[in-house]
Amino acid sequence: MRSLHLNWRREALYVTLVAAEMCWFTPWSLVIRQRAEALAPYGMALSLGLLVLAVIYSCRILGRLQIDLLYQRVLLIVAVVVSIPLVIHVVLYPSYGWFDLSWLGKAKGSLLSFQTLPPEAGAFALALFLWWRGISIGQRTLNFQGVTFSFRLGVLLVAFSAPLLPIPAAYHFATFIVLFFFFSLLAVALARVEEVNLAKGGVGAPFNFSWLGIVLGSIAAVLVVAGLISRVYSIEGFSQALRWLQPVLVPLLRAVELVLLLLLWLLSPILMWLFRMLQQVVDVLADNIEGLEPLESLAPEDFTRPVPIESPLWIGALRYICLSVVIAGILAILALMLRQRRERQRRGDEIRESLWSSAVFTDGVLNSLRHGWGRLQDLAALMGQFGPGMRLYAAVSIRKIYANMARLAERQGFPRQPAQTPYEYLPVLGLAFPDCQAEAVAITEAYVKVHYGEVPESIGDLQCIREYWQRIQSSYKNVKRET
Amino acid sequence: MSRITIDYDKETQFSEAWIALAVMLTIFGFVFRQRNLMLVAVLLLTIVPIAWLWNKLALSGLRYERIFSERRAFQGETLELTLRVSNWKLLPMGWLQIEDQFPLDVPLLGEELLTSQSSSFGYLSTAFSLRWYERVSRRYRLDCPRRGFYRFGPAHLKSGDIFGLFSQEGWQQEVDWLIVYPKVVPIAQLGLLSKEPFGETKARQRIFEDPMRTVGVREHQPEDSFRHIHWKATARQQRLQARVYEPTTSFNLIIFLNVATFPKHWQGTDPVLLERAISVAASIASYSAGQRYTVGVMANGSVPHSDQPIKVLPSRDPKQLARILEALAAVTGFATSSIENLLLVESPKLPWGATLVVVTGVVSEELVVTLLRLRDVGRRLVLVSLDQKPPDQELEGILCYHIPGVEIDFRPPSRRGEVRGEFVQGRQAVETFTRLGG
Repeated sequence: MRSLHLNWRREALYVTLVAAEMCWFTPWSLVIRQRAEALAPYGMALSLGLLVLAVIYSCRILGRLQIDLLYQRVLLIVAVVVSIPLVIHVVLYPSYGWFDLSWLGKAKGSLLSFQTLPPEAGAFALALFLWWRGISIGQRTLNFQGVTFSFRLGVLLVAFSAPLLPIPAAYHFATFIVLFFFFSLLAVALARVEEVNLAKGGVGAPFNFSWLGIVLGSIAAVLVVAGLISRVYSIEGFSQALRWLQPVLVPLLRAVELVLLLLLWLLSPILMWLFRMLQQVVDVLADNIEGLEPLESLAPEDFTRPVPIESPLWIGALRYICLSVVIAGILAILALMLRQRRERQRRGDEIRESLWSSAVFTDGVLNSLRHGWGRLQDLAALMGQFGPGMRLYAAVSIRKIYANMARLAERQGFPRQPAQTPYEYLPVLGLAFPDCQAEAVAITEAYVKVHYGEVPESIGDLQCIREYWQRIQSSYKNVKRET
Repeated sequence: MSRITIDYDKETQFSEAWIALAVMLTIFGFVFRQRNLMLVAVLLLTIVPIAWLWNKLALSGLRYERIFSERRAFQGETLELTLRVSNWKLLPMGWLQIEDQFPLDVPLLGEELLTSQSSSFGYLSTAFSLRWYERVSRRYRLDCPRRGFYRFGPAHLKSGDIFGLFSQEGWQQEVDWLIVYPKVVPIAQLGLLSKEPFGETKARQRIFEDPMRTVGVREHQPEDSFRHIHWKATARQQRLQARVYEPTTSFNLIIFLNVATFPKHWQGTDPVLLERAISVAASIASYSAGQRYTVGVMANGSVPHSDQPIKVLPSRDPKQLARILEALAAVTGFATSSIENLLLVESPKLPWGATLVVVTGVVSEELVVTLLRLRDVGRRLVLVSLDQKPPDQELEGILCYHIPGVEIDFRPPSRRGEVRGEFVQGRQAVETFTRLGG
């Protein structure tokens, strides 16, 4: 058997990916359970997540066991068969004890009723879906691009799920949304450092638990900020803002209303014809669906809550053994971490020292303020030169385009020397962008003109300069791709 | 079934589309009273700008330094290199990747460099994570198995926001140089005479005298200057007595190194022979500096990125040996001209009594002719030939050394201890000479 190399960041990446998926998926799985009062969403998310993790690790371990593919498949099928009743139990019959199998009879009765689509069938499909997700994640190469793709897809799924979920499930969805962003950001951060770490040479991985602490703190801070913003950026906040804007909005809406009424009056003959057509179509459809049952008959039959049975003594003992094993495991991990840390300190190949001092910090803040003040002065000077409005916008845009072009040239190894004038720098720009020499000349000319108070006369001229800059950018990208 | 393909070429998977999505979600959320949609929009509008701003500031306040324990080393020595990264800002750097250009001829012990398009350098890729106002230093050991003039840098830096959503790249253009001197061995080991290997050093004529060194007193002659009168001796003898001074014996030695290792330039370069020639030249220079000769070096090779021949004019400056060794460290196998041409062009500009030591791996007929011409005009010449076969004709009046098989370098790693002892000798020679001169 090949050894299973455990890298805590990679394992944490699996856990966070699964957690993020469960965050958008659990509210949907709650829909299967039709009794709103029995909902326990967080416990259910945890159970489903553990199942997916179990699938992932089973796949990984089976992949490393050098056994025949046929045996591997048989083992997987057995695992699937065992896990499906477990999922049905967790989702639909959580009040039954783990060793009370009386719910099986109920589930069988429900499955064999054939009158409606039973919730057990939904739970069955859910179990299969979880297996598919587990196998899919377990076999994936966890690179940065893949993880960010999952994040983007997850955001879209969350956005689409939000208005579609029924009320009881949607009630808990806000918490799941926040948790989704928490786990997704953590997953992206882990994927990024894994990618960086794969390419690195040098001593010891710098992405340790201290790094994890900073990342977790940053994510928590960002989510807290988002929470504070959401107090204002909400339906109530917008309603309040609209109330404040009522004196302006009411006449505006009145005017829009009048325009719309006028349009409707003008379009009324066409609209009346369309309505008549639609009515005919609806009449034809209504004749075809008369034979269907009313929705009330689809409700499931009520069932009595089973009496919990007293668990035997050995189960209590087993619980204590499990608890002891978990504590021992945690202690072992702590001891291992301490040993690794001591070893790193003994090796002494990486030295960390704090540069913090109040003087340095004050200097930094003062420098930043000075820099900001300088930029403001610069902007004020521009405003004084060109006045507020289109001319200022054009001047700022051209200066920015020139600065970006110089930065791009510097990135290619052609920096502008402090004493170099734009015209002296122009031949160097020609070397940096050999395919876009005319564009570089045009941008430099525009920059020099702005310096002496001339700006493009029209939006079209400015757009032309922008296009030159875009051409330079695309040329740079092409060169980069080729090399 | 179609598989989802991901655009792996994209720098970042995030764009302005996220802001557009957030705005759209806000409108839908407000119109349809969907609090959850509003929440998604708020989270996007918070996370994306913060990450974007963090990314913008990631490389500001960052300092990356290479600190060498020595800037100059002898061949075979091991140096310590410290890479130091400082984050002078309040924002922590979640990740920082640095790809620093390192010469392949100076390998890092226990580390592997990433390969590049060039065969002469690779990249040391390192990853860092820094907290606010923190400095991280990492130590490496550099082996210097080959003579050379090595450049470290520029460095390519890549970092981004702490979540890893965005990334940006930058270059640090500052470069550092490391000079690995050629191997220096005692003259005797080369097979040269241990006493006055380049001929008689005593002055034959008493043309110049050193007024600081009195060797005796004699009767005053009418042609003697009044400044030479020894007044105390005159008073004692009651006759005019004059001081007798020691004649000055400033020995000028200029080493001419031929970097060509084959008779014709198009035949290529024999790197082993070239290294031996350079090492012999360095050893002669070291010996000469130790003897307090006025020494200089000229070579028909050039330093990297230059087409000018190497020329260190003769001097007794305390730093002269270091200058010569640095020049020899930078010699490449590219010959800018023939050694004969160099000799003919440079010899008229050199002091008349100077000894010209020609170190060459190949003795061509043209070189022999040139040497004979210079001898005929009264130049003192020494030929140190590393060629396999001795010169074809007798070079009368020219001191010749033929040392074809002298073993100088390329010892197995098991003998590193011994080799290191020799480097210490070489370093001591430079230091002693500098101290004496100073």
